[in-house]
Amino acid sequence: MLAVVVGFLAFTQINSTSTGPEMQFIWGLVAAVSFGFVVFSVFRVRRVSSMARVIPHKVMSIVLCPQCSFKQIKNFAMGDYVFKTEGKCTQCGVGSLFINGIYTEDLKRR
Amino acid sequence: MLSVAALQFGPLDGLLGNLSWVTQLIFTAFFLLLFLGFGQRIQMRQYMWDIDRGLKRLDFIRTQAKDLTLKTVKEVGKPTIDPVPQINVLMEQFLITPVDMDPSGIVSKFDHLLDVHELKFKEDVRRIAPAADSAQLNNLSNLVEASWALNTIFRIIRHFYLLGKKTKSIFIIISLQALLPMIMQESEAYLGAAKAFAEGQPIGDGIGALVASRLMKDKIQRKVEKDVVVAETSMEDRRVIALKAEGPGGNVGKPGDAIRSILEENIGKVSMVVMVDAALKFEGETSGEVSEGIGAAIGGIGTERFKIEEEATKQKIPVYAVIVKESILEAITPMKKEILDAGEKVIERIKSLILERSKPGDTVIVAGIGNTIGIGQ
Repeated sequence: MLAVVVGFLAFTQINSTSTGPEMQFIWGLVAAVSFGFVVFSVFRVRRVSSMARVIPHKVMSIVLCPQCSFKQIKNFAMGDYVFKTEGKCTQCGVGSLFINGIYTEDLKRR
Repeated sequence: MLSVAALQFGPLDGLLGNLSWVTQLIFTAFFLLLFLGFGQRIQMRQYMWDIDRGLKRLDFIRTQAKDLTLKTVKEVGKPTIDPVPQINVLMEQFLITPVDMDPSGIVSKFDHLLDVHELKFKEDVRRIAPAADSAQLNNLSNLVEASWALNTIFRIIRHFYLLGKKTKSIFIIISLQALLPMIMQESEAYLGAAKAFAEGQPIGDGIGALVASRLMKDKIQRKVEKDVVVAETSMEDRRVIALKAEGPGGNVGKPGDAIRSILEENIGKVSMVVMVDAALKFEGETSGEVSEGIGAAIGGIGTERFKIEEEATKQKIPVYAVIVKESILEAITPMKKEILDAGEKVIERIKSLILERSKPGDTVIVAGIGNTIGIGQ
């Protein structure tokens, strides 16, 4: 709040015709620092609120056929678990497909 | 250097021009008083702003976790009455640890308390989610526990913040501010965990259970001690008894009891025990790195480790540990690819350990430790 008031005061001083170039420079500096502080404060508040979100993970299930080389990576669906059978293999028609692994893609954010 | 007199302050120009040395003095005195006299107060106020912001975030996180819990309970459990009051009761649950003035027998007291706590917790969750099957019930219990943890963290931080504010104790405020980044990280990890528990996804901590499940796949399985499944297989001409908590619901079982009962069933036959678990890495280490050591690799309060150590010492059986390194965030959020891939490396490491440390025909126990959520067998 103080930074906004000081910044406003500085801008009025810069625009004033009675202010010399030396003083304009000083007030310009004051205005820049005030503006920087305001931006920094807003950025901090934004960062705080953005950090408290549920991070969306992309979770994948690896489906394998034990008989042939069939391998499929699909999006995780509710109810999936490792070693869950997924019906007959669409490629060889013999083996029973099963989920061999479930993983999430990189958690990196920000 | 510019003197104060040279500055232009609009209507105050004349006054300041005449009183330049007085204003210089006033400014100097003001700054001295401000930074020397109130420096600590100003710093404390800044720390308190930080904590206040952190506290607001913690409140937001715990509310999100609670909302997720409520939504999942309603979707999965199909409650007949409003579950909110009961969830609120669960959020405030506590456990009074046994007296440790006379530590003799404290492990069994702890074990009993934990059993009672778990049983009551699950029964309470079943009451609010009558339609959930046993795996879903375990997942819901884990979800409620994650929400409980977030609620407890928030209450503790708020307590110390208000205490520091009330007593104006800079030491309480500084300690809290210093710990805040770690607390925030842990809270965000719990929020990630809540999401994984709500959907039944395997978490990083489940790597031990995943390795054991790979060993016992398509083998005859039986249930031993509470929520633990065992299967026999062979590896490098050795008889391997693999065990893990029963999945795919979120469960850690009681591997200590299970290992003890297997050792008692096979007195004099078991040549070694290999325990596989996730372990916290140090900063700078790579996630999914496999390491081996000696001793019972199992976390928790220590009761399960005690049982394994006691029985292994009694029968003079060496206990080896194979661990997969990961951060706290990775341990309780959905399993990362690097950690999943570490499973194969762990099996190779177990094979080489067995080859080096046992003879053909020996019996070896391989225990996969950790939460088995999203991992069947």
